[in-house]
This record gives sequence, structure tokens and C-alpha cells, in this order.
Amino acid sequence: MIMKLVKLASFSVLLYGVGLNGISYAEDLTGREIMTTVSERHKRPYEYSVEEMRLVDSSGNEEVRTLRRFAAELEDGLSKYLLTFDSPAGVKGVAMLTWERNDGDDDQWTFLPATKSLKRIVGGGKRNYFLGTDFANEDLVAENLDRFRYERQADQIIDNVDHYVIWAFPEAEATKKSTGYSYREIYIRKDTFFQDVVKFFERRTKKHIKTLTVTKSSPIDGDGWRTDESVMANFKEDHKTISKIMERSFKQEDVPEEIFKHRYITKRKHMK
Amino acid sequence: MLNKVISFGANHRILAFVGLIVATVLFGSGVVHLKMDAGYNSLIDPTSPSKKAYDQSVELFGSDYMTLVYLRDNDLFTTEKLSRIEELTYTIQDLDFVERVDSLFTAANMRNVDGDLDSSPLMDTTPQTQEEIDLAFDNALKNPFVINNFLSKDHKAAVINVIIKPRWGDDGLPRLAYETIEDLITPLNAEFDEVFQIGPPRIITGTKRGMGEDMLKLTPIAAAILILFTIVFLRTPSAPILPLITSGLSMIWTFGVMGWLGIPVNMLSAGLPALLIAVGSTEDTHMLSGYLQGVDSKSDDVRKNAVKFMLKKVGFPTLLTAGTTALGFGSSAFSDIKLLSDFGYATAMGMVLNMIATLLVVPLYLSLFGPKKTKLVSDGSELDGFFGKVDRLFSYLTEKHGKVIVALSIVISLVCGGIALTLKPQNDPISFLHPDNPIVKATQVMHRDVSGLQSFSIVLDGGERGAFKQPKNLKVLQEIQQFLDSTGDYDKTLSLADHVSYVHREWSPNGKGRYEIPDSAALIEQYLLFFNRGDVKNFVTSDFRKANIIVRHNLLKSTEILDRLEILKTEIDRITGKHLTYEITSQNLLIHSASLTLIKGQIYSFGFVVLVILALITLMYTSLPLGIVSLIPNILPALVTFAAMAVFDFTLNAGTILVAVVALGIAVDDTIHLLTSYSTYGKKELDTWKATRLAVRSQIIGVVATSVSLTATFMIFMGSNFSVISEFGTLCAIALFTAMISDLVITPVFLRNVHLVGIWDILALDIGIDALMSSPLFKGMSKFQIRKVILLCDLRNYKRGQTIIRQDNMDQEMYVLVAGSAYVQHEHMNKARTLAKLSPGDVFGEAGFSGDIMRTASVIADDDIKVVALNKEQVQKALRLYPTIATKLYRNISEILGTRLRATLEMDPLQ
Repeated sequence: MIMKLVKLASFSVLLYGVGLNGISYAEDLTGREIMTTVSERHKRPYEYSVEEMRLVDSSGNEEVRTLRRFAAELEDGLSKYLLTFDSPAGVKGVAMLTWERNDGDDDQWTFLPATKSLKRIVGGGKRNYFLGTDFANEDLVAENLDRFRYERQADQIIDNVDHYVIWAFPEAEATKKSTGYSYREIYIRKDTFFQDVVKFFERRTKKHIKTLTVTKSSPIDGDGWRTDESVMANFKEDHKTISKIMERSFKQEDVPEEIFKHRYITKRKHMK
Repeated sequence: MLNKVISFGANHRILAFVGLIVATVLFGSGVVHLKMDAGYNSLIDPTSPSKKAYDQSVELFGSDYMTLVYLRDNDLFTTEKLSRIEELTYTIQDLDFVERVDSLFTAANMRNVDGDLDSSPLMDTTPQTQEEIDLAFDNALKNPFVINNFLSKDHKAAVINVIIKPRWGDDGLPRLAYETIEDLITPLNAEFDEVFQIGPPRIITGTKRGMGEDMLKLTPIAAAILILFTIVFLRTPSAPILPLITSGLSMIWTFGVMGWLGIPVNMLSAGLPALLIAVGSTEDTHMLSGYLQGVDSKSDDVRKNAVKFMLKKVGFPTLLTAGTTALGFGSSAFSDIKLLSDFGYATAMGMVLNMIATLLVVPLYLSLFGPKKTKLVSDGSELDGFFGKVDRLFSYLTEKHGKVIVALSIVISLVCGGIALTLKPQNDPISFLHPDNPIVKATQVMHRDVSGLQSFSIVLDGGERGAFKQPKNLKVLQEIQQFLDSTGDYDKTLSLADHVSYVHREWSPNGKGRYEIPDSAALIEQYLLFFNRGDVKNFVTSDFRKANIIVRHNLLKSTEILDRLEILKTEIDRITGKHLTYEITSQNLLIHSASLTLIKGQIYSFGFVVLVILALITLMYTSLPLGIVSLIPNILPALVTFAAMAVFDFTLNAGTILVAVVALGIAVDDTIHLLTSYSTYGKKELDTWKATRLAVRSQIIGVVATSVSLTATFMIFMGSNFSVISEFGTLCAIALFTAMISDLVITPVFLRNVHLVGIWDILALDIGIDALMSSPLFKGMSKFQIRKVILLCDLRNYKRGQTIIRQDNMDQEMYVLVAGSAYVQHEHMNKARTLAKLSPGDVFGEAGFSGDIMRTASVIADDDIKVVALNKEQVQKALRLYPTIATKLYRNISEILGTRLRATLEMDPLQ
């Protein structure tokens, strides 16, 4: 989810656009317009972060993983992402590389250092949970607004804060086929256009299976906001993933383009 | 006191009637609270240490409460059929009682596609094109979690595993689960070649239905048999009315009390109505038989006198036999297995309530409506017709072949006991059903095509966090699985080793690597990232300290599975080198393991009932040898029954294991009736052969009528929906018929050689015992022993002036005056002279004891007196069962005779 927010943020070009137009105008926004605003407001071209993920099972057992994320929007307008584990020792160097594609079927590879090989992930595997967390692989790639249909629902007040409520349905054929969700219910703060709650509904049963809640966020430069801490609660598996950002940077030099190359990874250069 | 209890119904008719109404209203209102229990927990020993291991396993790895939906079709891999399976999978998943659904559409999958990895589900949507179908089929064949789990060996049947949320205490869950799923799959019968569900919900629901059907089916048949036999044997049309009233009342009372106390009806106690009719009616039959024998149509108040006669003759034994029957059934109440303990409580309560109903209703009814005429002959008279023939046959056998009977009894006991040792215990809900039951057939199909319904878990503890991320421990799992596969006894095994081996194979460059555990711990940990917690939670704890091998099989016989487990444990010890601890557990195994508890419990119950009966008879007749001897005709049927079980290839299960103790409890009734009757006749008839004959004759109608009708009633249990009940019925029928034969053949052989005196006679003997304490004949004896000697020997009453010993007559008895006074008179030349006065305790005529003697004087009663006559031969027989008293008596007689000899010598020194 964090990556999704990162991606959405990375698309936000007009930092103050919606805000300048005033609330009365915002009330007439469509779902798609709101999502566009969200994307535009929080977009940054480069982003690097260090995170701690705590995986908690139904009995309260915890497993802590640390990982680094790299995201960059390249010259062709498409984004690339690298996510790599630093701890625990057994999974150090495990990486997932994603290249966004125009045709809607992004490319993903997984690198297992113990096998020294990078293997492409194909098919519906993208809706599988990501390496033991409660995030599906698809939660970690960019949300292309053209691949979804956004339906605005009645606004809601949560914790005294006005929220837009939007249902996001898969629209593109490739997305319909590969997604694990029938739709997502996205809660967006009206004051910052920052989405702080996302509810996920299962593809087949349409049951509410998990919720991502931003528990701590902070403003970045301009109008943009970022999540500092979040909880992905998976009701279906009775499991949750608690994420905490330890370090963050939007500098280009922290996200060199070469890190998104296969050879960089297979040579283990991504490993600290 | 006892008499007041027994005769309450006759003496206080209005009170008794009101009591019956009140009891029926009070108890009967509990019937609405009655529950049925067909759950598996009632087959488990909750105190067993294995139960804890099982509970822990469920907590760690999830519930094994599962129902399997089987869908077979020749064209299974088509869009049409697969879409139905998909639809069904997700519809079932939506049900609120369902924890998880596993099927072809949820199976985790890993596939190397031209070097890339496709980790999408096997089929999360129905493949639409032939190419997609072929791919799905190909993936299924390569997936270790699919074949023999979600897909049959021949690829024609799919299975949906429905894991149900364990809602402990929710009795309605199995039925809800079964019926809901049944509603969903029934329409699919039109589209598939074969569709069914199988698992605990169906078995439990089917069992409950069977129990209900049993009650409705068996109860009227039992009633019909009762009516038939009582009319035939007692030859009065009103005969069946009493047993029907008492069993009807006791049924309402028992089920009501069970409802109030929360004791559920289970598959064993479903036969309770029939049992109450059958067993409960024996007391009515004995009482009615007693009444009819007391009918004297010439007496002024026929009913009153006959009821009085009945109560005197059979009241106490009825009370006693009802007690022993309740004891026989009730001994199971102490079992750790709920199925048996609930049955024990229910039946024991039923028998006690039936006894109360009988004691209130029978005298009340007979005193108002009892027949005034009977076709039966009066008490002790020669019998004619069928019973006459039976009586003569048994008399002939016991009188002419007594020694052969004893020898045969010993031989049969030894042989049958030896055969009984070969019996194997069995405890499994499936085995309780008939082989042709659709549930049993469904389990067989599941075993044949996919994997058996039975399962167990091998839970290994690695001792530290992350133990099962280590190659050596995962290799242990794999080696254990390889051993299990090599035996050919098990259908399917799955563990975390399969997950790791599977990814290892598919990650290889072309997906053709070896299906094995890699040597690198880091690689294993990285492979495991491909599974989320839900994929592996049934196989490993979240800290990877404990792992679980799930084993599916179809071993239904308890000994079969328990024997194999011993072999498996040896092999696991060898494989693990004992560096890992482990538990082998499942609900199913707990049930099988409980078979041993079952046997042990029933051996204790049997021993307990034997001891109580031994104590009871010993106390009743104050003779331990008699207690022991009287057990022979009752234990013999149990041994014969067990031998029959082995011959018919029946197993020792929750039903058949009860036979011995139930049969003992019922069979001993006949023995008690015979002993009581014999002790009564023995007081009038010193000739033990004649007394035995009279006792048998007076009891034969009751014994034969009850035994035959009980045998017939138990035979109707063969029509039960449960093989466990059918076998129970068959064996009880064999046991009771054998008990009848042995009671009528063996008991009389023993009785013929002994005298009996009941404790109630000893206590009731109205005689001035204090005066006798100083008698030389009773020297060294307690008051109780003196009373016993008096009753065992020939106690005679003489009126004032009657002669006890007549001068110049020959006889061979000695006497002791126990009440009143007498005098010794010598007559010479027509002149009578009183030589001595005799008072209680005085011994006279002692010379007669040593042989025929000519009496030199007469002894005449001075008032109404009582004397005990002692004849050498009779004393020997009478005291055979009482050796301590015999020793004292003989010593005292010797001293008396010695004193007498010395006195004689002193008078005539020449002699």
C-alpha cells in the first residue's frame, strides 16, 4: 500500500490546484476527479524509504522485517520500483522489481539471493500476498487511473474529519483478470486529499477482507503528505502488517536509475 | 419396613395413584428438555492425556472438523463442470459456519512457465478455453496438494474440503452444516455422475436420525413381542396391560428426568424404550406369575389374598432383582467415555424408576382388576403343557446328569474364556453403522478415489524458534512421510516439507528440479516467502517451532490403527534420533484410543457387578461358597457370548462391550428368584432334591417367560440402524438364552446338595436365644450362628402332650429344646415315671445321632414347644455351605456324646 501511496503521490503535479479552487467546487467533483487530484497533489518523481514491517499473527506472534523501497518515474513517464529486504538475515537481499508498462500488465521479478537468480512473476501471481506480508503484489505497484472506474459515494466524517468515499472498480480487461479485488473503498480527507483508509473487497465473494489504515502521517514539501505508520489488517487470514517509515528521501541521487536493472540486482549490488 | 414398601401400592391405593399422577406430571415435563447426542466427543475419554495433545494441536494448526463434498463426472475438466465446482466452492465459503474452504479453486499453486514463475492459484476462476483447461489440468497433476486431496487418482472426481468453525456446545451445528450443504449439492446430482458429502456433520446427523428411527421402529415391536409372550406364557389376556402401563410410565419418567438432568439420548440409549419394555416387564411378569399362582377362586377375597401371596412370594426378590439389573446397566455410568456413562445413567435410572412404577402399579392394579381365575396351576403343583415338558426335561438333566453338567460347565467356561481372549477392541463412529449404510459407502468411495476420511496429525516439536526452517528438520518431515507412503497403509500425507520441495522444484531453471528439501536454510526461508500464513498455518506454527504432518487414511479398526501407530512411533524415533519430540493425535485417534479405555472400564464394571452380586448373595444367605457358586450360571453366559462374538467376527465395541455386564445384571435375576424360592421351600421340605424340584417348578414359568421374551426382544435390536446396536441385541439374546439354560440346569445341581437360609429368616426367628447360649450344643457359637443352625436343621413344633421321642422306638436323631419345656418319662410295667424336666438349651436323645438306637425313655412336650432335630446326614448337607458353624457343632456334639459315654461308663463300670 505504501508503494501505492508513493506512486499516487508521485503523480501529483498540481500541488495546490484543488485547494485553490475551494471546497464548494470540490463538492461537485466526480470520483475520477478526486482521484486525479489525489494523485497530482502528492506526486514526487523520486522516492526512497527505509521501513520496518511487523507481521503479527492471530496469537500475537510477531516477525519483524526491515526493507528499503526505491521508486522513480523515468523519462518515458512510466515508473519503476525496487523493494528489498535487509533483515532478518535469512531473507536479506530478497528483492522485488517492478516495471510499469503501458499495456496494463506490469512486469515483476523476484530475486532470491540464495538461488542467485531473478525470476519473472507471471500470471495472477500478482494478486498473491507479497512475501509473507498482508500486501498483495498488486498493492505495491502504481495505480493507473485509466485502469479503474471510480464511483463517488456519500461523504463520511471520520474522527471529525470530512472524507470523500470512493469505490474503485477494475475497468481494464487485464486488470479485471489479474486483480484480487472486486473493488476498493477509498477514504480521502477533504482537507488534504490524502487517503488514510482503504478497504479491500475480495474478487469472488465481494467480502471485505482487509483494511489499510494510516495511523500516522506528516506533510512533506508543498501540499503533499506521506504515511509514517500504517496497519494493514487482514480479516480473512486474521493477520496484520504494521509498517513504520524509518527514513525517507525524495532526492534523485538516492534513487539512481541503475538500481532498477536486472544485472544490478543479480550482482547483489542492491544488498547493503 | 421392607414389607411396607413392597405392599404400599396395595395398602394405600389412593395415595399410590396420586403419587403416580404427580410423578408423571413432574418428571414428564422434563421430556421437552431432552436432547440427542451423536457427537464424537461422547466417544472420547476426556481425561486421557492425548486429549490435551489434541486440543493443543487444534489450537496450533486449526480445526480438523471437516466435511468433504465429492463431485464425480467423466467430463470433470470442462468449463461447465468446473464452473459448477467454482460456484459451489464460493457459495459454501460464504456460509457463516464455514471457517475455510479448500478446493481446486483455492489450492496454492506454483508453476515454472518457460523459466518464469507463475504463482497464481491453480484455478481461481473457471478456465474458459480448452487451452486454459489443459493448463489447469496439467498444473493440478503437478501440484502435491491436489492429487488425492482435491482431485481423485483417476482425475474424474473433485473434492471440496469444508472446514467448519468449531462451535463447542452447539448441538445444532452438525445438522445445520449437513443440511445447508446438502441443499446446495442436491441440484448438482442432475449435472454430475455422483455427488455427495461425507464427514462428521453427515455422520452425526445420520446417527441422530437413525436414533430417532430406532426409537420409533423398535419400541412398538418390543411392545408387540411383550404382549404376545405375556399372553402366551401367562394365559390371561390382561397380562400385557401391566407391563405396558409400568414401562410406559417408566419411559415418561426416565426421559423426563434425563431432560431435567441434562443427560442426552445417545445411540446406545436410543434403545431405552425397548429395553424398558423388555427388561422392565420381567418384574411385572414375575409378580403377575406370583399373583396367578396365589389365585384361589374358592377364597372369600381372591384378589386380596393373591396379592398378599404375590408380595410375600416375589416382593423382596423383585426389589432385589430390579436392583441387580439397575446395577448391571448402571455400572457403565462410571465410564470415562460419555457414550457409556450417559447410557449407564439413563438405563440405571430407567430400571430404578421402572421398579418404583412396578411396585406402585402392580399391587394397585391387581387388587382392583386382577383376574380371579387362572389356567395356571397353583404354587408347587405339577405343571402340564409346555412348561410341564420343560420342567421335566430340566429335572431329568439335573437329577440324572448332575456331574456331567458341572464338568461341562467348567469345560465350556474354559474354552469360551480362551476364545474370548482373541477379541479385538473397536471404537469408531463409522463402524457403528451397517456396512450397507450410505454413509459407510460414501467413506469407502472417498477412500477408493481420493483419500480416506480418517486422519491424524504428527506434531513435531523442534524445541526452538525457527526449527522448521532448518533443512535437517524438514528432511525429518519428508522422511517420515516417505515411510508412511512406503507402508501402503495411508492414502495421503502433507507437510511443510511439501511446500518447500514444491517451490524448490518449480524455482529450478526449467521447473524440472528435484522434489526435495534443499540443504540451504537461507533458501528455505526465502522459498517460504512465497506462502502467506494462511497457506501454511495447518502445517507449521508461526514461530516455526512446531510442524504438523497431516495423514489421511481409511484404517477403521481400532486395533489396526493402534498397532500401526506403534510401528510408526518406532520409525519416528529412529528417524528423529529422538532429538525432536512429537505427538500423534486427532479426534479420530482419540476415539480409537478410547477403545482401550472402553475395555478397561468394562472389565472394572464387570468385576464390580460380580463383586456386588457375590456380596449380595453371600449376605442374603450368609454363605460365601454359595455366593461364588451362584455366579457360575451367570458368568458362563458372558463367556459363551464373548466366544460367540469371536466366532461371528464381532468386535468389542461400545455396544458389545456392554453385553457381559448387562447380561449378568439381568441373568442374576433368575438365580435370585430360584435361590429365594429354594430357601422358602427348604424350610418346609428337608429333602433338598424335592425342595429343588419345587423351587424350579414354582419359578420356571417366570424364568422361561421372561428369558424367552427378553431374548426375543433383544433380537429385535438386530433391526436397528446401527450395527453396534444390532450386535448388542444379538449378543444379549444369546447371553440371556444361555443364562436361562444355565440357571435351570446348573443352579439346581448345586441347590440339590445344600440347604439355604436367608438372612431375613435368621433375623426374623422369634425364639429365646439367650437361654440357648448356655446349651452344650451351641457352645462357642454366636446368637446369629445359633439362629442359623436352628433354621438350617429340622425345626419342629410340638403341642403340649405330644411325644417327641417314644420309648422302645428306633430312630437316629438327637434333639435340642429351643422353646418351651418337656419332660423325660420312663415307662415300666405300665407305670410312668418322670426322670427329668427339660428346658430350652437342653439336649436329649443324643445317642441317636451316632446311628439307629432303641429309645429307653420317651420325651413329651410339657407345653407348646420347639425343638431342633439333628440327623447326621441332614446336618452334613445343611451345613455344607457353613463350614465354621459345622466345625463348632460337630465338636459340641462330640463333647456331648463323650460326656454321655463317660456317664454311662461311670454307672456301669463293667462296660
